[in-house]
Amino acid sequence: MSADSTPSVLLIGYQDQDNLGLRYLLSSVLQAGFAGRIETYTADPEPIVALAERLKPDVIGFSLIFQYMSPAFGRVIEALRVAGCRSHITIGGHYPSFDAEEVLQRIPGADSIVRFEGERTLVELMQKLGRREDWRPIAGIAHRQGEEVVVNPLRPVLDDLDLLPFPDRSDIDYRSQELPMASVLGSRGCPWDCSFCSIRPFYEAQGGKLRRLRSPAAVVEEMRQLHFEQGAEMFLFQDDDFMATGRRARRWAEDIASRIIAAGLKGRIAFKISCRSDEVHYDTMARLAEAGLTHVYMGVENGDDQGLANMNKRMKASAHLEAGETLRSLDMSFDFGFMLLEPYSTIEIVRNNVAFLDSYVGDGWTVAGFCRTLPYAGTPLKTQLEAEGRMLGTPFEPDYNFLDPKLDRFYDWMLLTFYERNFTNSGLNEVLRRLNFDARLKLPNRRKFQPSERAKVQRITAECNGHALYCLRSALDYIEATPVDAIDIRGGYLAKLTAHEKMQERRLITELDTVNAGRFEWRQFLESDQEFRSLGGFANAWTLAPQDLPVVG
Amino acid sequence: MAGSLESRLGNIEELCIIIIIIIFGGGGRGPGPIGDSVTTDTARVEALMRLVRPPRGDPFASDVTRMPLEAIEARLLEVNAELTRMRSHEAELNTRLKELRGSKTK
Repeated sequence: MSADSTPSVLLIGYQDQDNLGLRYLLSSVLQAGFAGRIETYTADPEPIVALAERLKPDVIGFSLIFQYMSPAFGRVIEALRVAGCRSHITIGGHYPSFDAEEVLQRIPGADSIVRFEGERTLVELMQKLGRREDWRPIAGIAHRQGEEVVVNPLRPVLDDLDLLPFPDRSDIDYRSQELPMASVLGSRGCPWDCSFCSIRPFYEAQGGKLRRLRSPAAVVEEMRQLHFEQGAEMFLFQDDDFMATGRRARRWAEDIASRIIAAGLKGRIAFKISCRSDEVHYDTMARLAEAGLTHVYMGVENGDDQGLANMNKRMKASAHLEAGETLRSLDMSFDFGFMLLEPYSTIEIVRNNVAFLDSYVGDGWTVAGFCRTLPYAGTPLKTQLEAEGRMLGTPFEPDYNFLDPKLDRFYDWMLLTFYERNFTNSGLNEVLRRLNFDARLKLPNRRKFQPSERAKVQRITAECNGHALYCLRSALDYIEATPVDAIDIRGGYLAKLTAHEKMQERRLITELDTVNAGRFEWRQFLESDQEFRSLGGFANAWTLAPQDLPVVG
Repeated sequence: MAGSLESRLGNIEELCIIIIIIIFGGGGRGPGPIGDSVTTDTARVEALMRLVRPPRGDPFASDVTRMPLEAIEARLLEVNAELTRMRSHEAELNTRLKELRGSKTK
């Protein structure tokens, strides 16, 4: 790390999709004259303990992205302390920002929490520690004082994101990746106030604009450098909502597209964005497609107007269908988040959701994944459920019951049946998501799918969706007609549905193995590198606590 | 299941071809009274039908009315799996058809 006495930081976290949060922190620390490096988090504390013993960093910073992972992070921190680590240990990320008190009380080895946007807070922390000054009054810090946890006032938000140095990627060798894929961030924040989401409260907490945009020139310059100097070909925009909101956002996006073309990147790169369905406008998408946009992720979340209202999505389900048609007409791949169940679901809403999925992706353009809403820290939903006395589980693993107990049985059955399909990297949902993405990827060094190959992938996806939706419909019919106490999710008809779904999944996986053998080797794609995971597999972004997971088989 | 449906579809196809041949081709108007041909052809079609697909009464109605709940559930799973497979296969075939016709006209 640093051979001299320059204060140093060891940043630890998952590195899927580059973990830009850590890389922005590192570049800010380096710019301020400190030393630092990033290391991948491992549940086994041994490698981290060994590294900390060797480097003896002044600060160890953990990037805690997933709420349910808090106990595992706590075990690694405890192991560091047991091994005699004397570094200042701090934790950052969405969850500890909202729930600093809980985290510090449950992870006694941690000294502080760097809350919300952390670049300037971490730099100041290192400055204070380097000068052996009292770091406790720093704005944006939470720390322990005796038995109490003190949460300091936050610092004002950084208005101009262009003042931040580009994220440090010096340790990433994009050229060695099968598909060199880099994450970039064009903006921070989202003005929408969906009940299940903590993005708006996260940025609202520090004041300032709800969405801050980097200048298109800076965004494209970063892309240009990543392509020509580091070999990146695929770019994943990690913006909370790339198109939020209105004409101003569309002009900004179109400006980025124009600059990509002007920078000579057209035809050399491809990129992916995330947005809402009602922000998919043909003209803007066509311009972005010209610049290389090939994939769009949409936060669809619900396919029933009442369900959408329950989530405060402020849109109608018809917008999802229109967006799907627009993207199909531009020959783009897309995928989407979908919460089949939320705390206010009724059987009718769930049934409508299943029908919606059939209309939306019954043709197999993309695979239908589904889960339920969880009330994460910082979300309006959590506050609402707390007010209603419905919050269950633990702070790290929130839970709730549905208003209709039959839906609890339905959800349990759904997990049991679709866990592998929806929530593992080797499940059909993830495999087909990846294949559909690849099928429409346009890059010069990438073997293109033939139309017949695409059709086969689409056919298998349509089958995968069709079987799942049939099982969901059938289970709903059964559960609706059966007294709640008589619903047996592990036996009788529901068990047969589970077995049926799993049998169809096995058959389709086998069929994928034989599709165009020798030309279309999906297993090689999956095993070749991390590209597959970089697209955001469910297994890398759990919405489930491990003990929620059903025993399969 | 897949095999049996395919073989049934194959039989129907075969039957249709035979009927077409009888009406428009091989069984066409030879010598003899014109008015007899329909009767003759119907008799031949019936004979052929018995040959290709022996009469089975009204299998769907009797099957369903006699089927117990569990058998219906199981049968529905089979039927739906097949329907889903055939629908997605039809879409794939249509895509390929368009592709081939497109390349032919180029």
